[in-house]
Amino acid sequence: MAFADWVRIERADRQGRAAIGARRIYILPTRYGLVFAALLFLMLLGAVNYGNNPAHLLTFLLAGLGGNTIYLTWRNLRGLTLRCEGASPVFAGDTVKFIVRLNGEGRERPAVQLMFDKGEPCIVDIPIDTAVDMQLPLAGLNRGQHQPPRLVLSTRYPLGLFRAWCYVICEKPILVYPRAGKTWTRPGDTGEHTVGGERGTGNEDFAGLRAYQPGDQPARIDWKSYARERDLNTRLFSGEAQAPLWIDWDHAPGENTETRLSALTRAIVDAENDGLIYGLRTPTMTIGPGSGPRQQHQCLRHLALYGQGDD
Amino acid sequence: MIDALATMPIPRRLLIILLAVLALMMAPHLANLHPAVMGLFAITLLWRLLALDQPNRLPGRSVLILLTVGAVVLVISSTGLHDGRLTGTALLGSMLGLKLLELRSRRDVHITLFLGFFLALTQFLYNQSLWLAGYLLIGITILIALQLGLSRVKTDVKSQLGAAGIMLSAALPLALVIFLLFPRLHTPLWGIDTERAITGISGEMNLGSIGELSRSNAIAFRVSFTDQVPIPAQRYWRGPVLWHTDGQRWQPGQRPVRSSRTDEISAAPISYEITLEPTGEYWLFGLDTVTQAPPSSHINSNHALVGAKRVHRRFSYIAGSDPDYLQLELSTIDRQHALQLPEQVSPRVRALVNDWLAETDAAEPMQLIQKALDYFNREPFVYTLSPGRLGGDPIDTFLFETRRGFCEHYAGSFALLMRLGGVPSRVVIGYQGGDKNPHADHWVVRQSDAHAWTEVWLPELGWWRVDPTAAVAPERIEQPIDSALSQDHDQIVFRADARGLFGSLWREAVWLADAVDFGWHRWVIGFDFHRQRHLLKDFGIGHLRGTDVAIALLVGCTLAIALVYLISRLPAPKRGDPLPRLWHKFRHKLRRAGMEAPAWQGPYDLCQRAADIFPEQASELTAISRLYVQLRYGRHSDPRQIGALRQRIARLKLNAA
Repeated sequence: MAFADWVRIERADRQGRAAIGARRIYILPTRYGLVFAALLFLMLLGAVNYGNNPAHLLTFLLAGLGGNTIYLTWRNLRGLTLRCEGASPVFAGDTVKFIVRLNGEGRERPAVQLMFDKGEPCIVDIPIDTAVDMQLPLAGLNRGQHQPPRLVLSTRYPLGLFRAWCYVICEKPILVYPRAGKTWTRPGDTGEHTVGGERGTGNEDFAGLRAYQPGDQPARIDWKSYARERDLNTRLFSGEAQAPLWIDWDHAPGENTETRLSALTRAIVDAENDGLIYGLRTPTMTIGPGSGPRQQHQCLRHLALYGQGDD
Repeated sequence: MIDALATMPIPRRLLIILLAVLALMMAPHLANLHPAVMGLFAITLLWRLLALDQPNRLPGRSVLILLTVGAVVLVISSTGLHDGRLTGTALLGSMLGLKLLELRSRRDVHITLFLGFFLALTQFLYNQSLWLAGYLLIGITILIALQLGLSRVKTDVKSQLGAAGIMLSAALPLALVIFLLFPRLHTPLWGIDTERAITGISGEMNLGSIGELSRSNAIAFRVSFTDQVPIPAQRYWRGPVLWHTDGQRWQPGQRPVRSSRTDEISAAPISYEITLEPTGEYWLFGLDTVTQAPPSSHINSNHALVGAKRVHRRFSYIAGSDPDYLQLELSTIDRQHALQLPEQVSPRVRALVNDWLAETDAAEPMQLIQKALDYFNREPFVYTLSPGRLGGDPIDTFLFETRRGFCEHYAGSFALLMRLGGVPSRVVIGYQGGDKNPHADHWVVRQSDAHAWTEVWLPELGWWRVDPTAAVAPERIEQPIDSALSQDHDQIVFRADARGLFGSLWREAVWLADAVDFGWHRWVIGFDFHRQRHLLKDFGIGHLRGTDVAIALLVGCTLAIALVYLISRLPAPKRGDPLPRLWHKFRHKLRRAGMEAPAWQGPYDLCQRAADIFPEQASELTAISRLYVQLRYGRHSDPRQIGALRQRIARLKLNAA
């Protein structure tokens, strides 16, 4: 789209903030605006033909109203600020929810529509002094890091005769993990060590309890005893102390990189769900054993960017 | 370009309001459109109402197409195609009705709204009254509020009404500028003819016809005098002139011959503008005697003003008159017409005139006139709207038996008496008098001012006006009749006699309404080519061409856009905290009461000082300072208290001791 290349665009700063400047706003009549103009012309013809002054006055009043709408529509966007909060990473195939916070900056701004270029529109009335969060869906992204498409902020308020819009570019990358594949069993295992079985099906022996220490996974806290008003304890399992689970590229099933990545992703998700300590080995990097959301994110991020030379 | 709102459903409440407003805006067409067309509209409206909760009751596409064809057939068969205005309005009304059946999502409302605007315009083609304009303006405001409501995600009409009003008022200045500048066509002043039964003076005089008219308080015309206002005795508004009588009726008869004489026209005639209500007749009224005719009308040989077309719409014209003008022409054949007598004149009437002739000098017709007027004055004649039955020879019965009559009885019988005495005479009908609107600069002449008088031919003076009514009821010439009261009374009640608080309040209100209505007519309805040129000339613009208007509009729009741009560059006003504003207002109040109230002084100190100066308000001042400090610095300040503080400051009255 050649036109889109030289349009005026509002660029968000590093924090994802942008204020809509007066000169960044485009405005054009809508289809209904054109119909309205045609209607006014017809009304004027009628008024002139019958030499009817109240009809003249009515026509001019509506023309003035339509003319003022240009300003009112434009004003509905001017000075509005937005802040792109970005999106939490998702697995490929899931829909990204990109969060943008809109602030009216001391003016009520009804019917402000926000969408990614060619995406699904979201519309909201922004109250005078309350910011509104909008979740823009973005589907069909492959694994990797993506720049969000251009945002289109538009409004037709008050009468729908004109549409004012502006483009906003926000450099808040969206991370998409590889799609999680099927649960698989490591070929070297005897069936006792599955990588990625369902939650709680692992057969490590319960070894006992110890007092909770900050950093312990919530999944391993003995909530039942805590509910009985005992101290907060963490359950220990006999297997884990011995060896962390290594999720290894070489063991992952799959013919090509992408299926392997999917398999590895599944293994990481399962391991995390089971509360295991795990590490990841790929041809390009080894991530040491660990557990918790941070570890999971680090591993999945590596897989997401694998082979894209971006890591 | 996707509009997320377009496909959302229309909230039930909004839809009901929309239907109600459209019904009300259509309602005045009951007087104009064929009942079948109105019926169709009502049915579609009800249909949409019934389908409010079950959209599946709405017709499908094929049914709609059938309905549309049916509606067109109905319109053509009921209204026909001869009047484009009626056909167009009927079609618009039916299409609007059918569109209602298509009303499913918010996007459909746009077109409905546009049709609603057009509907308002069609109302003006039938009636241009201010009241209708106000009625329609309310409707349009609600339509815009509806559109505003539907253009938001959370809809609410009530809160949008104010916004719609503001938007319309903001559009008004531009609308007025275009209204003043938009070139008007120099078309004939009359538009498309519409026939309607109208009360007003007809082209002949029956005994009782003017009395009947006098019962109506309706306005005949309004007059604005340019500078000179004639005295009451000169306020005769000349209409048709009647020559021929059969004893019952007076008719125009044969038009007199126009003399070849060029009359001297007075240098400074009384100039005035008349705004005539529709009469359905050709003649226009003018102050006796009209010497300057408005364009597209002429002064006929009776010195009556005649227009080129029947007056079917309220319309204004400027004319000039000279009350002292002498009509000096009477040809031999016209003299015969002016002496024409009905076939039967009773011996009693002839005897009466013969007695007078015996007592007067035949060369002095003035003496005969005086005799007749004395007769009306001396004998017990009554000026009344209920003259009673006059029988087969009304003049005889009136002159000798009932002696009760209205102006046409006096004028008719007086003219007959003159003719019997050999003095050429004729009857003039028109209006006499008029009231000044106390709230405006114009005079109102009503149907109750309808009048008949006579003109007699005097050799030196020409046609000379004699008003025999004045001999019976001289106050008639000075004061208008109170039409409502006169109906219940035997004697005529004059307007000045009708008193009472409610009576005068009511009259005041009626005058105000008249002033507003006349202003509306003068500046909106009657703003035609001539008045536009006149007004522009006042601004120093002599001749306005289309290109000038285009340039003016272009420059105006550019300036407006530049202004908007400049305003937009200004920092947005901070609404923020109402408290400092309130405090500022409070200090302003103190200062106005004569006390220094510097900004740096704290609230407690300031109020303490104020309490010393205004000891009577000491407690109130303390309360204000406490409330302010609590709101401003307090830990748990309740925002609702701001209203209380505002009230206290507003109510505070400072009287120095």
